[in-house]
Amino acid sequence: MDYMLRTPTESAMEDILIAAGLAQEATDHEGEVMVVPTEGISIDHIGAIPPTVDIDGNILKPGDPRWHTNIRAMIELTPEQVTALPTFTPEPTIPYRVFA
Amino acid sequence: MRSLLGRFHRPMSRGAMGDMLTMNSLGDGSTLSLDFTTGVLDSRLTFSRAGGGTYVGTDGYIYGVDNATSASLAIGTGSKSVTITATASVDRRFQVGQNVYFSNGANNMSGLVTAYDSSTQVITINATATTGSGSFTSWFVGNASPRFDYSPTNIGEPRGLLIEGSASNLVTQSNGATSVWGIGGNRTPTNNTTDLLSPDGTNNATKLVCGTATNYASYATTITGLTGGGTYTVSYWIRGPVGHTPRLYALNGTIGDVTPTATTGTYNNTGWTRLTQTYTLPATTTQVYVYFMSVSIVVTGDTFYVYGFQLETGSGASSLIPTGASQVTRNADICYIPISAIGFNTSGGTFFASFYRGEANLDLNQEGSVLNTDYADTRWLSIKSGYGQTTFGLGAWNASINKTGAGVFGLNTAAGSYASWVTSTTGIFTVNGATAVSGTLSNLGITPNNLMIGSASQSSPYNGVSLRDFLNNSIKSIKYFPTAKSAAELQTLTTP
Repeated sequence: MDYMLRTPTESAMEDILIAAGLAQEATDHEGEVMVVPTEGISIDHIGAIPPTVDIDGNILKPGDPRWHTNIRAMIELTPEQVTALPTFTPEPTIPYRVFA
Repeated sequence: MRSLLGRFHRPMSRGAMGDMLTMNSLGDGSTLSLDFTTGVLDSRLTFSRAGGGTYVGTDGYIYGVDNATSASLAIGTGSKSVTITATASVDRRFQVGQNVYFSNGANNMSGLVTAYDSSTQVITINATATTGSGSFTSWFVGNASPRFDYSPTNIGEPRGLLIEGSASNLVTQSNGATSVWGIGGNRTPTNNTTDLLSPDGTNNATKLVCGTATNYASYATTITGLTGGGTYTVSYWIRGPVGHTPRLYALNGTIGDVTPTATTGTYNNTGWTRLTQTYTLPATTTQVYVYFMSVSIVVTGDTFYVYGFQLETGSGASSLIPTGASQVTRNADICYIPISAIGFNTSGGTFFASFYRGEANLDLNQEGSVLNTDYADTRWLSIKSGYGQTTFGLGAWNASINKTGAGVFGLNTAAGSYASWVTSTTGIFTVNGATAVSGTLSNLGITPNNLMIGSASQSSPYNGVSLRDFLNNSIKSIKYFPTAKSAAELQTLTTP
């Protein structure tokens, strides 16, 4: 199951994913703390959506400066986890990015 | 060659025939011996990739992701069938039991293949998971099974199990659809040309017929939303006469052509070549033109063919991620085996790995792991490249022993072999028969849970997905001996 998520900032997204049990903090071999997905979850951070421009640089479709993330769950999420996700409506007819 | 497919080991299948693993010695003293060039995954290995991924088959064509059509088909569970757009009787190598995704944008359904008939190109899955809703007539079909890769040029030469990290193709319409590729002029594009087969063996490349000689012609698109100062790699297949020069043009920040920091490939007019270039963007550049073709025309009517454009972050080109109207992310390959299944000897043992470093992987400032464990960052082989040197290392959290040299081992463009033995405190290793090096290690006293293949764990212990340092290429074979071999034996073991 895939979910398209949106929050005001990257840190807000990470906080939500951690609180929902879909991500966790981990320390890499150089001591840097990173937020990584938990088992059965793939996370693809997109960030802000840039505007669509034409050949002359004119904006055809405005962008969205908010933080966007796609997740793919290979496990069954609980109703509480699903409720906690910052999904949005309407979803775009043509998503900016999808999973293969 | 395609008619001979049945003679080869079928990729992506699992079965008892491939179970060469045993706790007993296998005759050479090893208690683990896996040969990935057979195209069979040992059933005691755990493999996962949450989505489709492409690979090169035994005939040199690209498989793993296909376009398909259907009558109006609703997202849902149960039996679902679509028709792949490849020519009838061209085997696209889907097999019963493989996990496959049918996707339309963010809507998809996935499940195991229950039937595939290459004569009709109808593929049927028993969908057990879904995302989104609605009914659609066009699809991407993505194979989420293990990928056994083969050489695209030396046809039929196996490269083993392909293990790559996650990557995104930031370019839409990767085969050059005119709906997206509208920049440039003095050429006439034709999508889905029937002039020739594309690198995936179908008619989905774009033909570009150039205009008047001595004039400039180009075929490009705009990419926005990049990170200023970031490193990106462009890759694409091209076929045509001389004259094309790879190009990426910054539209903001420091406006103008960006000079590639690395490039691979020399194309010609007789076959497909994948060209790659790596660029570091100017500090404030976030918009660029990327070019499928950029040429000062030599002869009026010069014709180029292009296919599979990819723009991804980092300094190496990964396997092709086909795109349509959206950018597409390929998820990471995960492969491991329980340490309890390999006869692991905590007092000392020897690992051997033979692996491939592809020509398309520029491998600059990257780190890859061939064999690793899921505990305390213990690694049996890591490869670091950067600053003009390649380093092979054996190590743990805070100690390592390395061999360093500028291309000494030549593993960026060729297969290599590696062997090491380790105890709880010391290690010794060699690469390709070179003189072994040894040193003191630490944190090797912990018995890990799993032997990771082609990646490293993010932190202890491995939890299934928190991985890093992907090999981003393929592993041909691995072995484990529950005894410590001498330096001379390691050299012999790894001599090409």
